Amino acid sequence: MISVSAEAIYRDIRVEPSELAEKLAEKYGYLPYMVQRYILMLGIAETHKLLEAFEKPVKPVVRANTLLLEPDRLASRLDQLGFILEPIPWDTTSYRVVGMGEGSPSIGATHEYRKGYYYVHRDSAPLVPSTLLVYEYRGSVLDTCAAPGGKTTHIAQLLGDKYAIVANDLVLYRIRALIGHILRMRIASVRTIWSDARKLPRLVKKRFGRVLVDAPCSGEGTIMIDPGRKTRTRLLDLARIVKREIEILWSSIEMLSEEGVLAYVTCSIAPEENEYVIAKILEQRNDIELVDPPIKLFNWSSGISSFAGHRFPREVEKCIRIWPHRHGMIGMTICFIAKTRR
Amino acid sequence: MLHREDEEVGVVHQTRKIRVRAGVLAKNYIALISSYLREKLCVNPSRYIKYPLHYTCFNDICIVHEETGKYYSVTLLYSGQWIGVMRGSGVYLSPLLYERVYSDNGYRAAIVVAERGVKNFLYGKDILAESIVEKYPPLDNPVAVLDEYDYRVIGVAEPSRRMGNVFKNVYDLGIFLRELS
Ligand SMILES: C[S@@+](CC[C@H](N)C(=O)[O-])C[C@H]1O[C@@H](n2cnc3c(N)ncnc32)[C@H](O)[C@@H]1O
Repeated sequence: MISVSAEAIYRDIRVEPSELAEKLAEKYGYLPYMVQRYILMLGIAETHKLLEAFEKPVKPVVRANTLLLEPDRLASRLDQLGFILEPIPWDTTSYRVVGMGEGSPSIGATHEYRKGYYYVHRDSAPLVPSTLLVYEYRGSVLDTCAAPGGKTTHIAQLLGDKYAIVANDLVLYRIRALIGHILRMRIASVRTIWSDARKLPRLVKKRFGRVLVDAPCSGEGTIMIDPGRKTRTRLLDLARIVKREIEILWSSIEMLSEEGVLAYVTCSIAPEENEYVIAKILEQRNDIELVDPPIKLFNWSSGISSFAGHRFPREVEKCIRIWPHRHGMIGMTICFIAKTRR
Repeated sequence: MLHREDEEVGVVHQTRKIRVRAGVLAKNYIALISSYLREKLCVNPSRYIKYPLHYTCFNDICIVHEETGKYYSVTLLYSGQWIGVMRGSGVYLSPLLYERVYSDNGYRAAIVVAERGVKNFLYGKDILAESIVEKYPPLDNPVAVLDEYDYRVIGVAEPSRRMGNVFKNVYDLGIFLRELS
């Protein structure tokens, strides 16, 4: 197990907000350190665009449960119910819900939803990690932080409900929701377990060809959905989250079989939670490498290799960054790590 | 803090908000499921379920499925096919199991319900005689409730002698919003 201290991380990631950062933070209601990092990553013009993008709501996305019905049948049924759907160009199973008729039920309360015909995602970005992780793969998958099951159920669908998926989470009421979705969507290939992901290498002997780590992150990519995030996470809180992310990622890598591939995902644009975490792990392991995503779904951005005096290994540029102001989605970062032979 | 205690046939886990029980389904429940499959749906139970069966309860809602216990050394809370739902002293088949039986053998022990009845049923209400558009006997036992729109099973109801021609809601797919979200 890797040993890291939140205090050391805090010292590492501290930034001094400039006057401009203070001003913008006040205007948009953020903690100043956050805006300072946006300026360092993006420059001033793009920081304005990012802050504006965080003010605009994103529309939910429905993913048809292809184990039960064809996506176009779902689309025509939802259309009859008064929902206005837009296709997602790079995912033929999903649609963005851009409007609803007067008197339509909410998208998460229709009969079709209860019958398990679809899953409601907050946005289209959460479709990316599973699609890429199991691209052309047939075999077992471990989802270490799985609840409430958006990605688990997506992976089950992509694998035709034929390969074992082990879905783990630490929080019981979230596991209950995960099981609810598995039942609702009539998925049989998922085993739901309850553990701290950091303990899995010790408690589970099996190793997996694919591992998904959808880390419990700060949510700094979803401010348009959760504006409270503008002020909720102080830098020391962020350091604690980063510590947990490093520990969970370390243990999850242990769960990979040789030549297996892991997706490390956060719904955060914070370099501290992404490239920094990866760099810390790379520093201490010689049995992994970052790999390119197997296909390009759309024109996403790359990981960033330097930030606020940090120089991360160049390979972090292989990570995917989805930016609200560039891609019109929630912010998300996805890195693929392959286990090499020692 | 977590609290954990071993029960007769299962394990209880409790957090502040939620209490989970999980374990092997008792023999009397298995007998109920088997005899329903054999006598009411006229199929061989072993074609549809593998024994032993397991249950997981979150507070008051209990789901029957294929495996609990341990996955290596970790608590396994749910695995495999959804077999049924436990309510009171009874155990009832899942929509999944009904639909598998129906696709092999045709409908039995089922009522087909029109749109308005479906809506009410999915909100936990009972089914009135006027909402029923088709009946597949036997009906003096728990029956699958089918949506007229697509003939999917949306829950289970039981005839109520006391209430005339009403079928009482045992469980419906609204549980996903009411009890499992
Ligand atoms: C971003 S959410 C996962 C979302 C999920 N993958 C989905 O697509 O629906 C992170 C999850 O990590 C869980 N979690 C937090 N700490 C954990 C730990 N130490 N081990 C395992 N899971 C943890 C949380 O309960 C939460 O459900």
